[in-house]
Amino acid sequence: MNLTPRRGAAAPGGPAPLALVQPPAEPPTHWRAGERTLRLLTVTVAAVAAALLTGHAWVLAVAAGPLVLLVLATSGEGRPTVGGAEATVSARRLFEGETVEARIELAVGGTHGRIVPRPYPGPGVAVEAVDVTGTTVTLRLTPHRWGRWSLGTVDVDVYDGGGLARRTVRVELGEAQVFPMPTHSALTPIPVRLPERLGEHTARQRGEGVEVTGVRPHVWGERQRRIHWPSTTRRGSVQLNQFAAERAADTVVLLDALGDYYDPSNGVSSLDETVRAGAGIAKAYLRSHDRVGVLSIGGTTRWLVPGTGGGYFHRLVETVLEVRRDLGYHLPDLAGLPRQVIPADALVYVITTLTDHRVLEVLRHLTARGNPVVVIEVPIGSPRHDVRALSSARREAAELAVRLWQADREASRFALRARGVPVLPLTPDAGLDLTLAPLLRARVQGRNR
Amino acid sequence: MNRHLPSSAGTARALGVVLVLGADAAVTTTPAVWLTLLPFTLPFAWFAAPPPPGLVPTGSSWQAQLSRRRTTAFATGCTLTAALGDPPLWLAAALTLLLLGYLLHLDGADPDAADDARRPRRAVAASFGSAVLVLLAAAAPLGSSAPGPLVAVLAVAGAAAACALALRGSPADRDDEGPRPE
Repeated sequence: MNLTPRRGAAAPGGPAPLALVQPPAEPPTHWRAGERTLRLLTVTVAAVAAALLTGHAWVLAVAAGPLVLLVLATSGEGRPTVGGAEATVSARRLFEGETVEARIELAVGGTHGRIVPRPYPGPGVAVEAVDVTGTTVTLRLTPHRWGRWSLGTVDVDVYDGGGLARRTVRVELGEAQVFPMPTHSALTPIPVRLPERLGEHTARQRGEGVEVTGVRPHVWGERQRRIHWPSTTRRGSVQLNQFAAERAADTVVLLDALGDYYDPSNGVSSLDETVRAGAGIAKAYLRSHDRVGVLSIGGTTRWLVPGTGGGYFHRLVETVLEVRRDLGYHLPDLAGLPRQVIPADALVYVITTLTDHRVLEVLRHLTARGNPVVVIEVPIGSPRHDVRALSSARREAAELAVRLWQADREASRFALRARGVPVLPLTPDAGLDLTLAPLLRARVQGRNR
Repeated sequence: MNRHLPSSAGTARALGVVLVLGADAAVTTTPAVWLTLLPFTLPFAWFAAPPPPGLVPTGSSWQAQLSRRRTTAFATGCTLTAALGDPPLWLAAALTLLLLGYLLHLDGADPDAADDARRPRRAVAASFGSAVLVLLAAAAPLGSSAPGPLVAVLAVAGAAAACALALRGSPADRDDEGPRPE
């Protein structure tokens, strides 16, 4: 059984693990024999040595063929001059799944042979295509996991005109910021109380919005453009339409980065899904001109105070890019955070796997502050155990352990719901709307202060 | 990127099997010994094919380097094994041509060199011709002084000298070399 967080491993069929990919040692910078040359030379030398040692002259015939191939491969021209290489990358900020093009321009003078690039992509980066045109090498790279990654290293072998000797140029492609692809979401549930800022959500207070909440008698001095004529006719006095105020919401997305769990059934990383869901929520609220902030708990507490605007989304995702490197077990002191991080009455989405009980402590603090809190539970599957490899007694113990683990998680959910905190299971494939739909039945309640 | 065809690996392994059978036959003429050798040597034919492009080991350990250059090791091993025996002329000729064919097949199967048009047919013909010439010189019944082997040695030594000169390059080329790693 595996109940511990794993990093750098994934179930078969799952996404590529984030194993640290190290390029080989620095290649020699001087001219050296190519692989083909080495092969032909090795066979030749071995055959000649064997013929001399054994006295079997026929073995020399084995040496003759490769030797002639080598001699005829020499072009008779000088070797080309290899100055260096310059890499340009079409974009260094992109979303996961997008493809970036890297062009390597080699400074080669004279007659050169073939140019063979050997790419060593960074973690989570896949090489889609490699193309060599003249002295230009073009690579198409696709990062499949969000994060701040090195795009990789490319060793380019430049052969001489005869293809016998080569010289290697190492090119670093640099880093790229790969933003998480937000989970699709169109719903923006709101809390009971909204701050006094103009927005798009209908508040319970009366105001100058567009949603009619009732009619009332006209008071002398009021504008008469909102007269409700049916009521006026019925009651015999001027009646005016009454509208609800429209306010913007404050939303804070709290990301649980205390651990990264891989679902044994599909190899999906819980941290990946956590950040994608958080980005989806942020995008949906920013679209309706609300203020959105982010707070991640884990190794280092990172936050961004709520803000609004189209460009704010990129600031939000940049804030969480380092989360993967910060996996740890340090809990923030919420009382020590600036008050602007979690404004009063801000709706707080806590995206968590509920596997670490310390998150429950954070939730307790949040509810004690009076903020309306919604827990979005990221699925991690159940631990798997190899039934065939266990004896019957151990199998029963393993099954009992799984049942206890599931019961413990159910108890955590029950405790939260009993405290008035909705716990919504995230369904990654179905988008966030299905998860958030239950919140549309009623406004999210915070604790009354 | 993956230009390694499965048939290429299959052909290399098929050539490897025949090479192993031939090398074993060169070592011994006794069928019983030949049959005894086969279980130990035939599995090496699997390594006659280069590693698939996606599974090429990149480490600097000797195991990784050996795995990267398994075809070189296999060809060298076959050469050394066959050199232990003194086979009849037909078998020596078959082994020589098979080994040369195997090396040429590896050149053609190299994904990086597959588009290389600088391997003219005359080079292939010259390599086969020189191998046959050296073989005939080595097997020529020229008396007890045995000048045949001497002629063959001189021929190979001349070709080796030409090759060394070609690989060494001109002084201008050497000036172009970058700093060597310490």
